[in-house]
Amino acid sequence: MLVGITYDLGSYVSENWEFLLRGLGRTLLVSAIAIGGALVIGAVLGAARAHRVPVISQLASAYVELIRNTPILVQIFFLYFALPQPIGPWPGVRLDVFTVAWLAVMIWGGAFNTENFRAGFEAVPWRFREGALALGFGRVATFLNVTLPIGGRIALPSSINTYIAVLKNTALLYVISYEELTTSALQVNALTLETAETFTVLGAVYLALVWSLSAGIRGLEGRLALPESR
Amino acid sequence: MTAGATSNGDSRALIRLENLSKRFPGQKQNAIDNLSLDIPEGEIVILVGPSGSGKTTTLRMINRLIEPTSGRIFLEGEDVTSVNGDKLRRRMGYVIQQIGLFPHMTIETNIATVPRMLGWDTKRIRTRVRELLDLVGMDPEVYAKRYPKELSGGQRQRVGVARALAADPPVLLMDEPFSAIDPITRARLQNEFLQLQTKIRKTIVFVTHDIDEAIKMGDRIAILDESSHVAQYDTPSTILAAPANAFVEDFIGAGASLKRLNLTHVADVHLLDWPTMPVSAERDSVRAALLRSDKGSVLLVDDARRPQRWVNAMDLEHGSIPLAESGLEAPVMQRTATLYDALNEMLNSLQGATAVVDENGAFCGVIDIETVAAAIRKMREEARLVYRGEGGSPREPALAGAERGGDGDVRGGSDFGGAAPGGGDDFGAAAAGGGDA
Repeated sequence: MLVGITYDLGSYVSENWEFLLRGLGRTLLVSAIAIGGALVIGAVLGAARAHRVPVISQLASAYVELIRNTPILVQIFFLYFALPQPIGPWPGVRLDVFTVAWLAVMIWGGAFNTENFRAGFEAVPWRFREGALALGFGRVATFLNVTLPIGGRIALPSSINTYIAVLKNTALLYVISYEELTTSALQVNALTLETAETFTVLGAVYLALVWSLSAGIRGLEGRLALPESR
Repeated sequence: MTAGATSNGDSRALIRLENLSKRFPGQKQNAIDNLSLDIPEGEIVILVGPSGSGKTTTLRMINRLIEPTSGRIFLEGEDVTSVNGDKLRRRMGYVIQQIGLFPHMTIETNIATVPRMLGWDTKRIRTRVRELLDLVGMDPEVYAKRYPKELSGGQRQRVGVARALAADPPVLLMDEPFSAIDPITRARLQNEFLQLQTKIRKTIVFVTHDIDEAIKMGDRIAILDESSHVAQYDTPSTILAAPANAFVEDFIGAGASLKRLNLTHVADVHLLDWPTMPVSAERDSVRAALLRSDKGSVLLVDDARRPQRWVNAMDLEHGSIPLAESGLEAPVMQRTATLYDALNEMLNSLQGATAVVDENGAFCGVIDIETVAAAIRKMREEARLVYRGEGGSPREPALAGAERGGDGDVRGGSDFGGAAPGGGDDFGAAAAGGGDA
């Protein structure tokens, strides 16, 4: 039987959709965990950086530099292949492929988000924080009531880009054979050799995914936006 | 120059600063050096001084946003130098420069900030917010749910005051609250705030760099030199009449005589009755009203008694021009304005008198240049009394004069008209000052 000679998207989808859908489900799961984690890491470490909290601020800075200045592929390999090796006092820890999958993209996103939030918090005009302190808020309450809601809004547009990148980075999890969307598609391709259909579908699904993610966050941004002066 | 300044009034000190000093890390000199100040209950005390005099730092030390390096702070007789700072700040309302309303909260939530922190229940907070918005003259139905950016600068300033008053603190600290507002709105807000203070009677510490604002707003003024050294601490009229030293004199500036006019409000002087007629009246009846009165003109008012035009006998001759366009436009003065404002208005409009209106814009009398001149004469008398040591002032103005060397004569010769060497002509001195203003 000759396969892959005629371009037939309809039959490709009808034959492989269940398998691809499982991959898509894993992509969504890993992305959701990673984006949620990156949000928390970004807000906490961004706050530590912006408020120059001793020790945490320096550690956060080192973390950001380490992640920003190495390829994410190397980071994934490191977690998957290097971490299990006993080196000196390090006993070696083996993480299952799913844990490495979400951890790797979350750590990456967290580092970029730390910078997004640091910039956002630092852009909060001093008078708002002064106002809060003068009214009798403590430092933590000032952060939660004033710096976080205002700075978080300022950081939102740049953090959207980070979340989009996190989602797209899950495709790299192919290298540790985590069966997310790209890995699944490549497996289908190896079986069917319907290469053109495979990558058409893969590209279209990512496009739809990223587009709806950014539309969703932009909608949120619109709802959080403060009314402008008239 | 004495570092210590204690009130010589009868009212007890609500806030007492005792030998307060602040040195910022890495600085050789104290930013605030050994400051002592008593702030009497229910008064507005103004801290005024050139930039770098440490007035804002002083204000922030009162509620310990900045911790003093040494010295003690008392609030209502209690030593609060080392109590919990956050709790202390909830007992002092604070209005900062450019207000600092939280942009992500509605007006209602902004005002409710401190009550929420104090754990009031929702119903009590709601009632209080409405009460406060009413107090500062804003309709709760219209403004409670709006965001700060939807308000004008003046409205935001009022909300800032409402927020500071939310939990009814005994003390209000204000850091240049009116500085970022256009001059016309500023004057109105100042008048409104003075009106408000007659109701709330808070102990207010108010920082400004503007001596005119200090004179207008203050029951007492502390003029601060470098490192918050108190150059003089007294009532505005005493400071203007008898500056303690050359620094104070320089700071008050050349228009001291004119500035004293800021001490008296138009409502405090006797306003002249004036014949008025509706602007819609017949020409003949206006003419008749003019003949009946001893004045040379009639003020035409609209249905709400708002002044419209000044007309005299000659204007009435021009039959072709409708009454509503005859004569001169009638500029108006709020009753809460000061004599300074009134004189300014007269000089600007080149009219010897100006119509005075109440809160609703309705006519309530006329103030003329004679009234202002009489007020100046009266002030001059009072200034003399202070000069002779009969005003209860503990200072020695003669010494201050001696410090200035050769200029001592000018002060001795013309106590009130210090701005103009020809001290005999009161009004001339004031007008000369007006040129500077």
